[in-house]
Amino acid sequence: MTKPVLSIQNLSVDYVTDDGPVRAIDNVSLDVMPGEILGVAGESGSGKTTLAKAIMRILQPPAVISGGRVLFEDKDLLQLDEEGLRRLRWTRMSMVFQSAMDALNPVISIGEQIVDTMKVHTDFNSSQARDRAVHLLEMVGIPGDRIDSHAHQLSGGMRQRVGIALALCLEPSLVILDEPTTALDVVVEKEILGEIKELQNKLGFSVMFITHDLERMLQVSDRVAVFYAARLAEIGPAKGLRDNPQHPYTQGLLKAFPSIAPGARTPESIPGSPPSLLSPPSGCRFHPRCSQVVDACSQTRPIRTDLGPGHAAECHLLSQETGAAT
Amino acid sequence: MSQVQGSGVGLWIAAIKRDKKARIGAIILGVFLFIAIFGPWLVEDPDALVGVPLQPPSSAHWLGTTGQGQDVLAQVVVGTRVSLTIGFCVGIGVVLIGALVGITAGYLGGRVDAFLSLLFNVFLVIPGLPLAIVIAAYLPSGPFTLAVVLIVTGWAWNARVLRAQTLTQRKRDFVAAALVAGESKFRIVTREILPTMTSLLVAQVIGSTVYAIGAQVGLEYLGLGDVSAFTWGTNLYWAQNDSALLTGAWWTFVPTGLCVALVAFGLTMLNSGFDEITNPRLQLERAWRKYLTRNKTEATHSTPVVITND
Ligand SMILES: Nc1ncnc2c1ncn2[C@@H]1O[C@H](COP(=O)(O)OP(=O)(O)O)[C@@H](O)[C@H]1O
Ligand SMILES: [Mg+2]
Repeated sequence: MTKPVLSIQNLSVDYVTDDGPVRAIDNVSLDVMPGEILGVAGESGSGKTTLAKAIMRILQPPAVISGGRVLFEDKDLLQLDEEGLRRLRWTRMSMVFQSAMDALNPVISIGEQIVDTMKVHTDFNSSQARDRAVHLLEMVGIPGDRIDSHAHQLSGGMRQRVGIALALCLEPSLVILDEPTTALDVVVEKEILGEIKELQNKLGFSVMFITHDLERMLQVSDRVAVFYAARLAEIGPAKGLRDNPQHPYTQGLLKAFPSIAPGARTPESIPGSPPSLLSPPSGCRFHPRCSQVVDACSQTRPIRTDLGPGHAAECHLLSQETGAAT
Repeated sequence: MSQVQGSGVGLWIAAIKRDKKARIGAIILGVFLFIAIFGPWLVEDPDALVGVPLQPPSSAHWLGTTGQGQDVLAQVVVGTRVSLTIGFCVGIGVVLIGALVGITAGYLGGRVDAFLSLLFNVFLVIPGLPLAIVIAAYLPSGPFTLAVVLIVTGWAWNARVLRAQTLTQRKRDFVAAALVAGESKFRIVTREILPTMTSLLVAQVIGSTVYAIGAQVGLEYLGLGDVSAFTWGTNLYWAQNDSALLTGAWWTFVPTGLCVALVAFGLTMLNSGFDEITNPRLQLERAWRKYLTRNKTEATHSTPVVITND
């Protein structure tokens, strides 16, 4: 079996507030395999961005990583010092942020930003770096002659493409995309997602792709992780998850999205709203909204149950079934 | 309750309740305000010749006597009232003028901005203290003159900072939303933009007050004030005039000097406490730093790892 590029084991992340630490990632484990696109889905506030930034150790105060291991290319990122992290960031793992406008420098041309990034980490000279910047921009669908443009001269879609070019310029083995297309219209979104998939095919990097749009995610990802209130509810192959979701929350999410298939059912939303992380519900955090609750749900935390290759979920219904079978 | 809401008095009370620095600052300032308000009734006439000149502190004259044989304590106490009054009037004055000019320039833009910016830039490049000395030398001397001089030479920096702040706020979406909702320019400035600057304005008032007290003491020490008035500055002027340093009569200048330093210290503490309470980022970082210290971890650039097994 191939080794994962990234292996997150029992990771917990807290935000330290005046009222004490708030756990925004709670004991989460997942792997990203080489050349895989792993989708991360979940409602707004479920901890997706926190997870992404915790992996790169770029969460700002008041965040603290409070447990677990993050193995990336055989190194535990939680053990690395500042210098070790600096050497890995962007060269081996990079990130495309939710708002490209905020991630790009407004007073430096996009070409210069790519050139600067390359010159910091490689021994390219200016003209080599510039040639490569043109090449990268064209690869993400921006005409090479836009290289001297500034961020504000570009459309939202183009900015996000620049963000992707910037993330790819040092050929990392893992690229994390945090809702890269949420601010864009669906046509551009579709284009960009297509391009990411194409680039990933060509260059072979692994992708952790975050979005709240489960439907779209199931189309582009190999596997999908579903988060609910700081915990991993279910993770599995995209196809298996779509056709046969096991966790009631995944089932609810899938039902909540409209489908254009002929004869499709009308979307049903999940009743209630996500809990506050300051005082999460006891037991399974989804139980107050779940349509299939049993007694155990409000009492004990469900354990992770393996449901097949690469497929697992945290739900009492599932652990009871397998428990009875064995 | 993790976030402090509201503005004005409520914030101050919250700051003083929760922040040690703010509390220290408030206590120091409270003592001086008490002295400024009630002190002059509790001490002798600072002008009266009460004893032998240059006597060290004794039970009759707690802080000794001046070179003229006046009571030092009485002069320090009466000086507190005048000096603090000038300090706060100038502090509030320069921020008011600075806010008026800076926010108008920033919000209206165009020619108005060009003209007002030119104006405060001119005032900025004129060196403040020398100009103050020149003006103070020509006008009839006295506390009022000093206040005017310090306001004229001190407002430009505040205007510049507030113009910049207004420019950034003006571009925010909530201002656009207010415009769409049909609010008038005046209302947008007073209701939408000003409240976002509360903590900046307070910091400016406090900073300007510290500056005003220092500059006023300096000018009077140089003899540019009314030397027959009783202020901290004239106290120092007379101490120097009577060769206190040469004769080793420390009690004629140390108490006044200490007052100036203490008030500046108290105001600065109050300001940093207020900043911590109104700046949510600092506030959050404080809890975070405490947490790291408790778990013996260093605050690093990268997200710190604090393994807790709970
Ligand atoms: N700086 C912060 N301080 C305190 N809580 C935070 C902070 N940032 C995020 N959180 C909380 O952490 C949770 C997860 O946030 P986030 O990772 O941004 O979610 P997502 O990206 O899934 O929308 C949210 O409930 C949010 O309220
Ligand atoms: Mg997010």
